[in-house]
Amino acid sequence: MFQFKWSRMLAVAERDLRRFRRNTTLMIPMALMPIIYLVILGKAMGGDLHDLRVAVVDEDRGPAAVVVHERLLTLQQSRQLLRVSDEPSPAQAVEGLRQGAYKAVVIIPQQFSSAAERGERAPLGVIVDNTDNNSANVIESVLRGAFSTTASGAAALPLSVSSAPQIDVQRVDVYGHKEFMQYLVPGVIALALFFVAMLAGGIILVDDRAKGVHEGYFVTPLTALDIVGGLTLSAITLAMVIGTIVLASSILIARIPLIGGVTTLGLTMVTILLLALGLVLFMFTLMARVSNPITPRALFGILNVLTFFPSGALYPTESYPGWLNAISAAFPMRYAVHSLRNLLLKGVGFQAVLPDFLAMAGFALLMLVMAATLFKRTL
Amino acid sequence: MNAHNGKDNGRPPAIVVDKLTKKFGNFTADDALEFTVRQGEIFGILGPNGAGKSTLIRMLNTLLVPTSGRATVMGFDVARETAAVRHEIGVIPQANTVDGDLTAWESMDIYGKFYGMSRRERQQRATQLLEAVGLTEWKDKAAGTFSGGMRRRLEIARGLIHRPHVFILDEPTTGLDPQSRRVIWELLERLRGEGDLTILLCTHYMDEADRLCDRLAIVDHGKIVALGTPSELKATVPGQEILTVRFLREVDSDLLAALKGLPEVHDAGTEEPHVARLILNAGQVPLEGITEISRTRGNRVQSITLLQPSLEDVFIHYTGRGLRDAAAGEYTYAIPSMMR
Repeated sequence: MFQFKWSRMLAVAERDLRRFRRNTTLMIPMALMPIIYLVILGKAMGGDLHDLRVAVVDEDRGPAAVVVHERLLTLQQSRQLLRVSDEPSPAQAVEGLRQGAYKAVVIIPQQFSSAAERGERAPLGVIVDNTDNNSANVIESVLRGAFSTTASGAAALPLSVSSAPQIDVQRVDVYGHKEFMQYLVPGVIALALFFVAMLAGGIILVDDRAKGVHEGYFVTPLTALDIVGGLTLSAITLAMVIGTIVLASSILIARIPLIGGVTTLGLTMVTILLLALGLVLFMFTLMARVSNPITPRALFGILNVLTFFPSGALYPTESYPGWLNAISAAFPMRYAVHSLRNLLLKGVGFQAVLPDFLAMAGFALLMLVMAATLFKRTL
Repeated sequence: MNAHNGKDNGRPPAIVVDKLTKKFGNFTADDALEFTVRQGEIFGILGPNGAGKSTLIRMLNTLLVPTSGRATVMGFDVARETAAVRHEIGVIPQANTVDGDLTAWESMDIYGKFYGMSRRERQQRATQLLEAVGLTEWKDKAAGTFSGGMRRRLEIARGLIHRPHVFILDEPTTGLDPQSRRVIWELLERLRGEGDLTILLCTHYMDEADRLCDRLAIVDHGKIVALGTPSELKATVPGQEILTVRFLREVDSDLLAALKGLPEVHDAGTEEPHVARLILNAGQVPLEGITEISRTRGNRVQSITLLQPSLEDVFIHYTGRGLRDAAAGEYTYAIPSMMR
């Protein structure tokens, strides 16, 4: 049972190596995967945030408020950290924040300059979207640094307020306390749908083709649309079932309060449907002419890294360089994560997620056309 | 060669193949094939692996588009009226296409839906066909647990679910054990006996073609080299019956010369060291003479086999070489104990 012979072992190895040698194209993903992993993850995780949208509401309009404005503009211009906009009222600014237009709202309250002139601590309100804690913490930290009573800070203030330049940055979390686990939930749902699409749209499709199941279909009156439509429908059904299970489990495990109630739930299911549709049809397009069952398995890792990691699921998209943003914007995962986060953690309405829905629907439509075009009805 | 013998009791032919050609790059898989299949007959396409049989079948079942020429199935053009053709045909592809995850019943039901059959029709037809192929007992088992023969039988039942007029089978018994092959042959013979179904059978087994086909075409290198009924084709082979005699010991020149000297023997040679191959003039088998020669030379006869001209001989006659994976139709005489 435990007899061993070098020659026999080498023969087994030789057989495998010969196979690899004759399938060199399949070895490309193996070598490429770690490199893509390095580049994508290196830039998608922990990069410097930039272009964080911040609204400023100036209810004071005094000299100290001018200083605050100037500081914020300096941060915008020097490090491209912020993109500052003015809003007329706190209510409008906070509504913009709730709808995802801003990451934070800086409120310069009435009497802000008077307090500064009197040498009292002038309170600067910073309301943050804490569903994205990474961005919220960075904004808070940067503002505290910028308005701390350092010598340079004091020197920058106008003469009239320089004797009492104490600005107290007061952070307010607009959504109460959010755990990181809750932040991850949208990404987890998107990942589950990616797995379903890979399995049903990729692996099973190619396996069935290799086994001759499709040849059996082709000699019946089924049209290409019947086949692509039927396969999509089954994959979508599976995706909806898996998506619902993961959604329900995530809500329970991460204790997510469904702020928008039934509407949120409905819009969440629409998001799941649109993402599943896009991903499944994307897989059909990629695998439309693939007949080697190893191919989808070999591409699995690369596709996962390319679509999931730059989606904003783990780290804000505001940290990505331009090229990674382009990759991110090309796949529906980003819009789904954005939509799910807005729905599940903020309870936003239809208008707020409509752009995401349109992007996902557009992607799905494009993939449908491509899949139907590439799918061959004959051998 | 009677390529266009289409009319049969006023009925139009089931299949018409007219100068049908398929090229893959510079390679011509099928070269201007021409034949007609009558309604209700079993027509065989016989040829070795790589002869172009499967390419022909795939053009007829709309999986491949012909390079040139034309073919119709029940009057519908296989290149232009593919949807209509697919309604007319039932197909058993060479590869096993049974879905192992589905039960036999589910498989039948789903394929019935592909053809737009009503629930009642599907149930009725599936019950009838599963009974016919002997799978009623297994109808609720996943096809993945079936033997190769059972899968093939299920495929045959599935291919007939929509009552096709033409049933196309591409090497249906390849890889099956003899018993499963026989079951499938009996099934096809029953189908032929039941009526209007036209069967196009592609095979490289001569015994299969010989037993089942009303007419057949022998294909080699993409061309039809012979076409007719099995007996017509065998009759075209010049020659006589052949007798092989297996002796206990080697056949030496003296023994061979004695056998050659028998009046019924036209020529004699050795097939193997222990086996003499005698070409008979006609009619009688020289059993007594062989027994006598065997006794006088002390080399006992173990068996005598009378070979009739087979499709192998037909193939050799027309192509100059043998069919691969072939087995001759042979009839072995029981050797009486006194001859041993």
